[in-house]
Amino acid sequence: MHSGTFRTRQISVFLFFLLSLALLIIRLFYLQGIKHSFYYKIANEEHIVTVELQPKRGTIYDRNMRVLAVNLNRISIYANPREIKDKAKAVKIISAVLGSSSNFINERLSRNKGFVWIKRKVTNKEAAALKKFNLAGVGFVDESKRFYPNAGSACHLIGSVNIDNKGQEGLEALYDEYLKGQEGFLVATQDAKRKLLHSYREDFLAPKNGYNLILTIDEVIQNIAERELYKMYDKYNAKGAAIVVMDPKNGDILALASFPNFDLNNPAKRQTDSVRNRAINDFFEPGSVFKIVTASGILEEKAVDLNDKFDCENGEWKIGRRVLHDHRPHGIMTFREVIEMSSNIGTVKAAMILGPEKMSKYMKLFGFYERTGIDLPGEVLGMNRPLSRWTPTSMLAIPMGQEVTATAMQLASAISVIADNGFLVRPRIVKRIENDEGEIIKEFEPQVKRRVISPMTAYRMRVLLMGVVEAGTGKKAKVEDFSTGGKTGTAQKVEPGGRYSQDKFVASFIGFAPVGRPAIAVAVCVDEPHPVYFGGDVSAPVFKNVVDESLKYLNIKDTKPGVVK
Amino acid sequence: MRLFKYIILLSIVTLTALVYVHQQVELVKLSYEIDCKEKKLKELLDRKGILRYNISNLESPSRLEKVLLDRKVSVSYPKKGQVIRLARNPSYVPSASLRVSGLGERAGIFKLFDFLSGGPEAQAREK
Repeated sequence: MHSGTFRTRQISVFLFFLLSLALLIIRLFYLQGIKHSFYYKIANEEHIVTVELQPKRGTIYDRNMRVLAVNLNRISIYANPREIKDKAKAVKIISAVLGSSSNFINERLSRNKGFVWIKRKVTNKEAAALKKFNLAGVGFVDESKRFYPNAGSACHLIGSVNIDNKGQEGLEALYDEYLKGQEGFLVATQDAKRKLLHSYREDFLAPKNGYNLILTIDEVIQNIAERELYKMYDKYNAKGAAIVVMDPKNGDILALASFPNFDLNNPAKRQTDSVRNRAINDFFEPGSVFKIVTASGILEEKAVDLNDKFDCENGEWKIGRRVLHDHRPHGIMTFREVIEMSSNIGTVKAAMILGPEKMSKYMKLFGFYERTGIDLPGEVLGMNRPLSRWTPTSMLAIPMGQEVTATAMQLASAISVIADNGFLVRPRIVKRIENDEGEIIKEFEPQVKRRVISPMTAYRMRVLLMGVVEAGTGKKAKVEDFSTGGKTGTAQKVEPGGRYSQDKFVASFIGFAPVGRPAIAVAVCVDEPHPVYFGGDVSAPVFKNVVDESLKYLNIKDTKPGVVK
Repeated sequence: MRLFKYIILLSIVTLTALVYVHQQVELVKLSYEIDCKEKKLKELLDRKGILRYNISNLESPSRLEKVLLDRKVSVSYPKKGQVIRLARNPSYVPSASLRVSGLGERAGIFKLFDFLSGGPEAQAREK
């Protein structure tokens, strides 16, 4: 009896454990078998995370590998409003540390969302100060921000990026595909504290950093050009100003500046007017600087010799209904003197011998019917009429730079033709694209568009334009240590009604140096300078200072022209 | 004998399990170490980037000019003959080689102008 009771108890306990084990096995089977995919998914979502790995945006360098634009790490602050319990306290702390308005922070934290940005790309100090408070629901994430060591220098050509590092203007926009790089990702397990466990890496694709741009710009020449142009822009209260410094041999843009400008590190503070790159976005009637095209055509076609004489009508010549004026009365002058003294009457008389067909041909050859093709966004095409639409009076205006339009870049390109023995070269601003290891991804070779004039004509034009500086209207462009050549221009602006303004001018100077073997070509254009407005007074001194300092910096020796019979 | 075999088997299983657990613990430890080192590397790279940026900023010609002007330091370019350029290091090999600007028909006719202007038309082409 006793043993029977014991056995019954034994069996009962055994059955109890057996049943429990069976229940556990069933439960295990249910969890691991039937509901496997459901719980596996939940567990993976908790432990396995995919992290986007941001690439570093490419750096922009000048021709000597000096940094012009670079990305640096910055911390962005976000919040999960649902996790913040004491919102009033959080608003108070965040607004005090970050210096943001408490209304703005309050509005952000009141949103019924799981993620809101508080402030992006703050300084490391600000981030460290906020981290100290260890606020629940407030997080920090690494981002990168574009920085420009030269602030406003070359701002129009470098351009800018938006808050997400996407190129918006200038080279940043044009070469965004090369600069931005490719995102990578990391799939890995994280622990309970959301720390990544790199040993449990499931999948990984390294980010591909953006390529670096190496420009043709020289930081030092850019600074010289900007400084000298700004002096005149400021002194004469000009509406705008632009300068292009170019290597005529290969079209390399050594400097390009435009005023007003803006600080690339503070793009929010810029004004609408300061964004425009006046060297390629603005076209205007060039005035007397255009006489280089007329004179080149005349000499190339041998229509007139340099010593042929013209009656400059004492500064006033009535032809048909139109009266041509010179800024100073002249009598009989040789063609050389006509160009040196910038006589409109003499130039028009000589151009009439050349004829409209050939005048139009040289305008086309010098590139005034096309864009220069510089690799910058937004280059405008002027409004130059084809020969078929010229009026009977066009030949009284076009040879002296009226009824035609040009950009500062086109003028720099045109003067480079004379400096480079008659070849028109495509201006280039990007030399090559490299990766971080210095391997060349893409290279931009100098590109000759066409021959415009013969080397002999180019040489004669150089000597002629040296005369403009030595004895003509461009005396203020004369540099003590170098021989220079160039042409002044003072163009009246056209009023909205179509009449020429009496007080609004564009003062220009285009030139090159040294005359024997030009190393740089420069175009300076100042829009509406006051009260002085002559190209020879406003723009020529800018040319002089830029040429003097740049050639010394480049260690160029002066070469004077030889004698040509 | 059977019991001995059982104990041996149990010991092997236990040891294998311990080795496995130890390995996993080491992996987690290593992960933390990698994470720590990566953070340190990132910090140092960021620091390097900032320092290089600061150098660029400090060497920027516009800043240097401003500093000189603020300190009223008057500088000017030397005149001709005041500059003596030292020879380059003989081991220095320039990256760009000079070439005669052989863009089409230029070379022949240019000899006259090279003579007049004192040198050949040359330009650098990056290799």
